Amino acid sequence: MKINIFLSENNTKMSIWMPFVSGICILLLAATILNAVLDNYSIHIITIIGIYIIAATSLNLTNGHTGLFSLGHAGFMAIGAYTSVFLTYKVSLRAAYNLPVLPTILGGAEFQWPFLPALVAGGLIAAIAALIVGFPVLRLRGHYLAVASLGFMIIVASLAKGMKGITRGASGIQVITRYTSIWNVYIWVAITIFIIWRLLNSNFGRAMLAIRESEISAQSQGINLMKYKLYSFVIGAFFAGIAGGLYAHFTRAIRPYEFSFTMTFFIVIMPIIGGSKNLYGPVLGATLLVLIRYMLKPIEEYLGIYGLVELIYATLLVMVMILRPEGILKEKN
Amino acid sequence: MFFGTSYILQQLFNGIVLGSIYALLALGMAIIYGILGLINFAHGALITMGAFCFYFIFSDLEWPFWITLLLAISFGGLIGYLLELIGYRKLRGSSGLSLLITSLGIYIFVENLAKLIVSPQPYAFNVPNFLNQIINFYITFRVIDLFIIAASIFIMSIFAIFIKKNKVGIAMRGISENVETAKLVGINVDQVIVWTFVVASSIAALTGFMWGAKYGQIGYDMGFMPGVIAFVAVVIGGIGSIPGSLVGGFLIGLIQTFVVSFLPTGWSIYRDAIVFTLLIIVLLIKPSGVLGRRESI
Amino acid sequence: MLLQTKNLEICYGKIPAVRNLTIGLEKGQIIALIGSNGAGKSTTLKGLAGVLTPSKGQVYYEEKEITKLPSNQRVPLGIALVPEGRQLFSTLTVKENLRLGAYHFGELEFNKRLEEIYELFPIIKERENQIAGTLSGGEQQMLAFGRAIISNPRLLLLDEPSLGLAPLIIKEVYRMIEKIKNTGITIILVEQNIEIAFEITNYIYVLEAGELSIQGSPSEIIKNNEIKKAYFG
Repeated sequence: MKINIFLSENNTKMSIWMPFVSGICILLLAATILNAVLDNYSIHIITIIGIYIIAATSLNLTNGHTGLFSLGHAGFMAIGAYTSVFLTYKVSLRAAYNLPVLPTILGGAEFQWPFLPALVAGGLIAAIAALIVGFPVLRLRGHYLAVASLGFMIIVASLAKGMKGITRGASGIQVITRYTSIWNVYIWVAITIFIIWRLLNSNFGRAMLAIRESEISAQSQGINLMKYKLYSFVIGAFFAGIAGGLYAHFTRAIRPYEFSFTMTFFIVIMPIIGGSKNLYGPVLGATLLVLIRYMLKPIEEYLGIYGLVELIYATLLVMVMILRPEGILKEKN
Repeated sequence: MFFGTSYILQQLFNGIVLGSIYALLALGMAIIYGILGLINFAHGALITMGAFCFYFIFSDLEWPFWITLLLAISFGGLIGYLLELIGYRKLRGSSGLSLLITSLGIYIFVENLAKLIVSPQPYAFNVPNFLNQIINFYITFRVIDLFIIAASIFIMSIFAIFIKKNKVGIAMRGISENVETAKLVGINVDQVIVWTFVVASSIAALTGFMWGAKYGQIGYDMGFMPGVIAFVAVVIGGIGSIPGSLVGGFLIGLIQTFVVSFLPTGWSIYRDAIVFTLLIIVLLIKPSGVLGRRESI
Repeated sequence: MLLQTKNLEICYGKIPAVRNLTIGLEKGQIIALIGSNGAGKSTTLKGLAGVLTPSKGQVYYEEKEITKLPSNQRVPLGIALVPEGRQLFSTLTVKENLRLGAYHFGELEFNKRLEEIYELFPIIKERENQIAGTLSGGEQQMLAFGRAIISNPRLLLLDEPSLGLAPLIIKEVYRMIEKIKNTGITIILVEQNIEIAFEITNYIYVLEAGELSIQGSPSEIIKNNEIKKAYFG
């Protein structure tokens, strides 16, 4: 069955593309104004928020909307980060930093990729990894899926530490060119939200919703479970890879231990707190949690109480689970 | 490169020591999973708490060893009790996923509370001298290794008797099979669940001591990996089978030790990744695990 | 009165399955609740056992109100239920099933009662260490009875004891029920097989669509024309 997410029965081309185009324009306008008005630190925070919006929204496609609880997202971000950095790394710096030059099929020793293709390549490699890992892992349900995907993330982190020839092992890669800016991040935010919005409003979205509510009845309605789960997983991984690439080219340094359980937990709770059945839930969650982090980190360091931020996150999570399990923003009908 | 017999035996022994710790953790994980359908991610937090409780009482307050050990184990039991009362009881009847997420949150909370209180730096873990005595008997080991193996065997035996002969143990198995039947037959299910948590958490606290004693240092995040590996052990050994979880624990202990000692040095980075690769393989080939029976995945 | 209900209402979600039910029984009696499928017989029994909580009305046991008491607290009071389909712990042994039936007993008390149950049902003793799930249908019903009466209940609730059993076995099961009745336990029986129910009981309540329709002794009920038509053709 062909899935066309850019057209559906009750929507005209206008009603689909108009919001996207106007959304991008508004975001870019806002970005320009803020850039002129705010200081660098605030712009820094807003950019980070954007990166996590992409990560959280893509995670929610699998976790919230399809009901597959994956704990592996940081693994896909790592794949996207390392792939894009490996491609874009400045030729002149490679020797000094023990990073191998690109093989001939990828451009040769004198070549470094421009940002956008590298970013997309990172996303694609992450997507391919999701396809491969998805087959065995997506057959599982509930907690088995959670632990298997957690395992995937640990395997990726171990590979990042182990394949020293390409990744420089535990020391990580530094002096990455800062290609990421508030503008390209928010263009990607718009793309991510647009695509996921269209997905949710298509047959695809209905199938995912059916799988989330009950796999058994979904199957009896003729929905090919594996196909839709894979789609959801792979697309989520693609955007995670993008987020990873944007992250790496913003923070300018990446190490394997960053893409760990702490980061996964951070991203996983964003849609849960913000609203896992709502398209904008992850946006709210990402914004809230990143802001909390940046507000409280100085206090943490000043008072020497390391771990305060995560403590607050964990408390928020448990409170949400007990008091309002759907999250802040409710499901839209 | 060939390995001598004594080297192989040595690593076998080491693998059994590590496997004993994992088996104990898997046991605790298995009984909580059996009775509540909950993967208790917070189990790992009990490991950390047991270790630090022992550390502060033994090294700071300098109380005698056996009393400290008993206190650390009791502390674990107490925390387990509080966890069930405050964290999980309200969510009784929720989907397994909600419980999983909440247990994740509880783990992160406790890990960071530990980080806050004791600082991110690792601590050197001291044990009484008699445990550090080295013994050379064809293979080399310390008394603590014997202690770990002996304690594990002891606990597993007591537990085996408990679960077959004691009414609370039998009730645990009954509730694992069907909680509604258990209620209608007159079992006080809440009370049995509390006992399950207390027992499992006490054992986890003890393994915290064991881990610290074996590796010589403890840190705020020490419990995470062993806690997750405990669940992997339960799955590999077979969900719903307590002997299975013990088998799973020993298997993982042996595999991790062999990977580090028989493969070239570069491979030791992968000691955790191997465990998860094994998990995925088992889930592909025989999802019910080595000794498992019920439950579809 | 050993047991008395007043205007009992039990709902499934928002729908009342049992409405306005007022029934009672004296010590030593054995009464039956009969009616077609969905009439509310099982539901009533579950309400009496504490497995379901009534939304309206009261239940009095030995003159004390127990309406909202949870099931695990009713067993020590002397009320035991043998549920529909028996609901044994199929992965536990016969003896372990019995142990859980007398959960609130100490070891000594339990062992004493165990011997008494073994006298009543000798076949169970032979199968003491067998896994409950491997017993035959009749043996399982025997075990279910044993598990229910080992706690020395004064009121025994039996939900469709003949369900799924071959006719010969059903006869045996009712012989067991007769044995149990002779030990002085008061019994409420829910049965679809009314012929057998009529033979053994003192009093009948007929339920229809969740409400009490007729009641009386078996001979009175049989004379009733509508019952004749509905059940005996």
